[in-house]
Amino acid sequence: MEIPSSVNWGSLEGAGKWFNVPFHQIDIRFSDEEELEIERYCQKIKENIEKDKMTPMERWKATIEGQEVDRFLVEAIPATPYPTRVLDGFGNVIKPIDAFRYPKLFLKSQLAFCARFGTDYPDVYSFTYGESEWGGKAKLLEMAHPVLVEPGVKTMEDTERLKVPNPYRDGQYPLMLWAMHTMKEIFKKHGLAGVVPVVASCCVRGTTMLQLSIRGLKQGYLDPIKNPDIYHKLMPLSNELAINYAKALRDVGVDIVWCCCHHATHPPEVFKEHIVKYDAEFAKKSGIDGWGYAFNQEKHVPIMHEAGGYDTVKYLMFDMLTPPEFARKFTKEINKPYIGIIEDKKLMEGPSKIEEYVKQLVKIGTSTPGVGFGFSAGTIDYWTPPECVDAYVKYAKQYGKLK
Amino acid sequence: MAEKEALFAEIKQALLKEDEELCKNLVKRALGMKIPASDILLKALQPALVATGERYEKNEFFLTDLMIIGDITKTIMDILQPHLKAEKAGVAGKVVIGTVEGDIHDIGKNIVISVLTGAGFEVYDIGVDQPSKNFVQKAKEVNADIVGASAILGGAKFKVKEIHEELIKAGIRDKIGLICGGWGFTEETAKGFGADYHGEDAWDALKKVEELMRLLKEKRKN
Repeated sequence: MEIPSSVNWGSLEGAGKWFNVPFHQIDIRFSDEEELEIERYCQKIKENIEKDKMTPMERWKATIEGQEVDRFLVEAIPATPYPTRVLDGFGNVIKPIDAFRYPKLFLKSQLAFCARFGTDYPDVYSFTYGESEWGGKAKLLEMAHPVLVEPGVKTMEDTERLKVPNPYRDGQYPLMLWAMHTMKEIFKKHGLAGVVPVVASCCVRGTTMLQLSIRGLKQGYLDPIKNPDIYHKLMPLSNELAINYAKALRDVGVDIVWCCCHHATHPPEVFKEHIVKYDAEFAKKSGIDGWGYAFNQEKHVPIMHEAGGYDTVKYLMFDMLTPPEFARKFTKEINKPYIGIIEDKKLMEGPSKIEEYVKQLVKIGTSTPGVGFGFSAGTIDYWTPPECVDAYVKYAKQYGKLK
Repeated sequence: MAEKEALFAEIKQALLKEDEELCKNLVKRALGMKIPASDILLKALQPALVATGERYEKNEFFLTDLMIIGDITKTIMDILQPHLKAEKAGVAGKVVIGTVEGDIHDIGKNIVISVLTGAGFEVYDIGVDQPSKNFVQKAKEVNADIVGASAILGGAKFKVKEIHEELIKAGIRDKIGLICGGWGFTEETAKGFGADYHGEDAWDALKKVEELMRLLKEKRKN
């Protein structure tokens, strides 16, 4: 008899009917009207890119290889809540929770965002951190990403019962895989495959999973310092899921897989002693293309580099809380492209400030010919006025055009 | 005198080194020497918390440092509180604080509580995922000067507006300050939701709370 495992004792309050349905059993169909709606999004995405000299896929590849581009990449990370606003024309009638319950809405909202704002490609942020799959009680929130309410692992004994969730089978993971697989199929059908890359984040890495899904935020943050035994017991398990999830995204058709990260929650010496080996292992085994960094990472990325955490990745993204001058210098030293992210707060400061940030990044981006550069923005706060996202895309395309 | 000053410096260092046991022992020693709790608060704890903020700003301290120092501060305040009451030490102000409905994040809120408590404020924590009415109810119950609303999830931020409206409905908005905090707030969005200020971080929140107290006092005089 199989021992009841963590994937059986967890729960997600408010989950939709496809929760915990294995990937291969998900049978979601589009109506004729929805097929038309999707065709319209794809038409608009085509129109958005047809005046450019390079396709988004060509631009991405050239950026990675440090070759000449027609203009810098312009992508955005809208996460899940913001694109739901695009679906109803910013009426705020459709709620973020709807996208977490109904994967068709999630998928359509991501296409609609890319079509509406004219970013180079949809960059789909993972809509699950595996909140309930480690035995915890989690719930969907009306206006945001789901959260863990009560962790499943409180003691060392609890760790004995854990079983690594399967991204093809457990929780919300199969829905994310369905959405990404379907996006690729849609792109094939409408002539966009190979032209516009399908991009997704596999967030989160093992250590972040501990905080968000296994131990709860406070314990998860403090474990490497206060409970290293539990931390080191859990990390191989959480890393295994993180690695398998990244691989699964690739297997269902995602062209570019990246992972968000925030090493600098811990002092550098704690990061070096306890955490970095897992992050480096994750990067190597998952085959992710890039890391996306939030907050100031100046003291931590050299440690990550020393541990081999960038040996296999193709690019690094930094928001502007890591000083852009540092980010550019560091990425040049390790010969990787730098994607400069204008983070959520800056994006809310209005078009004229956004123009300044874009110009600042362009200056830094062009300072190292032969090492790629690109723009991103996000994750976009739910209440960001659409004119701010419009301004970001407009200025990034305008000032990012190279002579 | 010099012995007292040296002890304050030792407490400050112990807190910055995140040594809870040492910190507790030194505070108990100071109380044993009949040093007023209010002096320990103002001359040891508060400067240590200010230094914590400065180190965080300079990228010398990290989130986990703030969490650990916040926890130790809470423990120390539990030791000092009965003495402060006995000394009838003045309270800088009363603050009701909580995380808005639809959000359960509380790390930032707890750090703010430590910093405000360390600065002599009486803080009432109503917890996470709290309906707007609960903020108002608690504010009325304790006769609060300021309500603090924490929200990190983008969509949940509009609950600050609801709190503002509930305070108006209760007829106490003009007597009470409203401050919000959480990653993603800007001064503009905070004001758009009806808050008087937003705290960029715990130390900025303290500055804003002190400013609100000053404005409230002026208003009450008139």
